[in-house]
Amino acid sequence: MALLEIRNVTRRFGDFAAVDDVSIGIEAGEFFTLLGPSGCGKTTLLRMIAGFDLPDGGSIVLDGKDLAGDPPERRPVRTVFQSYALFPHMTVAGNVAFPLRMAKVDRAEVERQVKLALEGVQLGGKADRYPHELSGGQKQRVAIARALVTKPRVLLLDEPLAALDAKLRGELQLELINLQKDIGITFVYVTHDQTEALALSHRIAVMNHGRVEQLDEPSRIYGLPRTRFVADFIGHCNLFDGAVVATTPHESGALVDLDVADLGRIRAFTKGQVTPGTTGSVAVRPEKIRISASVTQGEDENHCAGHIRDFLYMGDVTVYIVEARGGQRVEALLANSEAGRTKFFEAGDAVEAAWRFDAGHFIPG
Amino acid sequence: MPDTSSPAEAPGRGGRAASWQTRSSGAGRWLVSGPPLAYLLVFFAIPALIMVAASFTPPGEFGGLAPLFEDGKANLTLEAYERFAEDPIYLELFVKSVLYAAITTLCCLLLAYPLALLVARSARKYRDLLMLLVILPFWSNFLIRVYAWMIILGPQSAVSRALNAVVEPLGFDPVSLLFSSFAVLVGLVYVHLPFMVLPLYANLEKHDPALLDAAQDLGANAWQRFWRVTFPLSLPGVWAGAALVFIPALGIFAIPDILGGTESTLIGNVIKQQFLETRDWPFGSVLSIMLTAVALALAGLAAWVSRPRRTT
Amino acid sequence: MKRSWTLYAAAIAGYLFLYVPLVIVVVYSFNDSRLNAEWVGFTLDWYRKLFANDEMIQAALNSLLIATVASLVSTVLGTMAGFAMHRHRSRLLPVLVLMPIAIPEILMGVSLLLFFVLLNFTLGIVSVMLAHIAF
Repeated sequence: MALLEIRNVTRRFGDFAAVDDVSIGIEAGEFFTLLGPSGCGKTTLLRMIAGFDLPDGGSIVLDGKDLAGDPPERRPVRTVFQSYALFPHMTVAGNVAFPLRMAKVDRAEVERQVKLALEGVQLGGKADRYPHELSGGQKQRVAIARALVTKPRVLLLDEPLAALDAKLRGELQLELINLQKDIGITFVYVTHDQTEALALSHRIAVMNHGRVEQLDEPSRIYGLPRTRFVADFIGHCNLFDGAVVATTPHESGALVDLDVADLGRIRAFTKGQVTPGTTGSVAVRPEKIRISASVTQGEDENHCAGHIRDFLYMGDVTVYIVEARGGQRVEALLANSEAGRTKFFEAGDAVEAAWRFDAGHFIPG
Repeated sequence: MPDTSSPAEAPGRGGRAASWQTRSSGAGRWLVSGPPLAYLLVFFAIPALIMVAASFTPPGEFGGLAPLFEDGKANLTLEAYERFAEDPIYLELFVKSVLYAAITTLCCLLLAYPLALLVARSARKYRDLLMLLVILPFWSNFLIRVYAWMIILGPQSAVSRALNAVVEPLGFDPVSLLFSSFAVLVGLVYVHLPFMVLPLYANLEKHDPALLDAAQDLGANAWQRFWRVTFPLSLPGVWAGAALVFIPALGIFAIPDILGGTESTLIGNVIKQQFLETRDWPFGSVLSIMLTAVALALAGLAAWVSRPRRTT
Repeated sequence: MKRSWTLYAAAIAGYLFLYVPLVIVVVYSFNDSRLNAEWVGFTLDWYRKLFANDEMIQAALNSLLIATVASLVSTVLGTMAGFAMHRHRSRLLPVLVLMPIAIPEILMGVSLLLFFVLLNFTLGIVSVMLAHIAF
């Protein structure tokens, strides 16, 4: 059985279901992320695990024990808040010592553990400072030390890096990964930033409108999105909508022929069987599409011709928006420093695009 | 942290703000601050100085003050101060007044805290209304609020009769609630309560609710959350409220006059007595100056203790 | 947010403490008894007597006049003072303005008494007004 089990949990506010019949099993030692846009229910779910909210239906089970009867102060679950919530009238050491004092640990032991905890987050020298004297990154480290000092079974993190600038966020993300690896405590992380989720997690649950759209490892979330929403939410994705015209069985799934308006016939793979006539979308990541002034189409490639409508220069890559002959927009991503890349396209240039069949993934619905 | 402000911004902004501040001409400046300044100087500062001078003059023949200059030389004496120092009763009076003020402040704190806490934690749309309800009684007349307690604590009132119905059968003498120290304290608390609620509320309202969530998450129960997070953070408000109650309560005379018995005379009563009845103005001035000194010392202490600390 | 019933109870007790005395005064103003020690019967007599008593009415009007003038002048002077303190960062003004609050009222009254008597200023409505404004 998983360490933390969320079984058919529902939470309603009036008619609105913030969390709708969600079931998730989180394993011990895992870095698990709840990812989704604002309002998708991820924070509500987190609060229910912490005990600040109670589910209307379903149960949350930790170590085999239903948490329903326990208020937050009795659960072996700690939270790192987005706003850090450090006690302004206590020093850093006082903050970190707080949960130990609530647990009635004796003085000498409290001092020892606080020292260890602060060293664990590289803040050994700041024990006597007050929160207002610290930078954002330092405050967050104190919050993490404070939450971990009593060795909870699960650590909940509610968008802890959202208030930091990009560079600092990147540094702290690395620290978080290493910290989690060293300590081995289960992390449940909430974020709306999909790059962050992909970078940090062992597994991600993508949520939308209170439901889990897909629960998978990052590479499969990215490469094999199960629903249109997931494909669209994670990174940039081309989504070609159409109806299946023909299918050919292939290994464990099928090769489908899709008729896409304004584009033409394209082929992609899918898991499982699909009957002709099913509507859906083919998801193709922009970096899998090659464009050039003229492209020789391989046997197992889709191909289309058009012209550059727009482009975004991003320093390390350029995103090109190609308008195909039929009118469909195709997004392609090219690395700017690719060897042999001599041509940087301008708006209006005529180009041809091609991508392999297996670069596309068909999502019914 | 990398400095991302552009160098071009800083000097321009600093310059503009400074010029706006001093743009007003010298004349305009005096036009605005002049009248209030003048008024306070004339009706506050000068009377205060006069009182200091008065404390050094001998009492006049028929009461009041003797002329300041007699026969061409200054007529000063330390007589009044000596009298203050000699008779222990005046020091006792001061101590008693301080004690009454302290008890009043403590009771106000105990009563005001739940009120302020409830209003501060209420939904935003109700807060103003609830606060208004606290302040409304304060808009009624001071004397009315004191007289009300004459009715409630009078010997024929429901409260008195209920109390004596319990006390008498036990063999004690009937208790007189009115004209006692108890009545004076009730009156003092009643009159000063809003002064404690307001600063407390102003402080509590600004507390970050996430802090209480965090405390709970870290294992603190309801009492611990209050005692270790809410109360320490509210201390500046507590000191401010305490100052606003303690200092006026020190000098109060109307309440002991109306609700008090013979043993509840406070320093304020004595001062009034000296000026209006005994007409020993120099001595009254000495007492007033002593009271001012105590009040200012406490005000200074309160200001120092509740000075804004950076606690964002 | 859960809220304990002890907080509610204590707060309601606070509100009752504030309002019950006032209600009692109003109710007892209709009391048919001279001593007003206990409730005897309902009457409007006292109100009739109040409105027939010229001295009372005059006193009330005096109070009203003093209050109105004092409020108006205080507001004007206070606004000017506030404006001046903000714009010109004066050192003296805040001290003068805030000192009366830090000092028990009786001292203001007493010092102004000395002041007015020394100037042979007749004690009357005007002196009361001036005192209230300063406070």
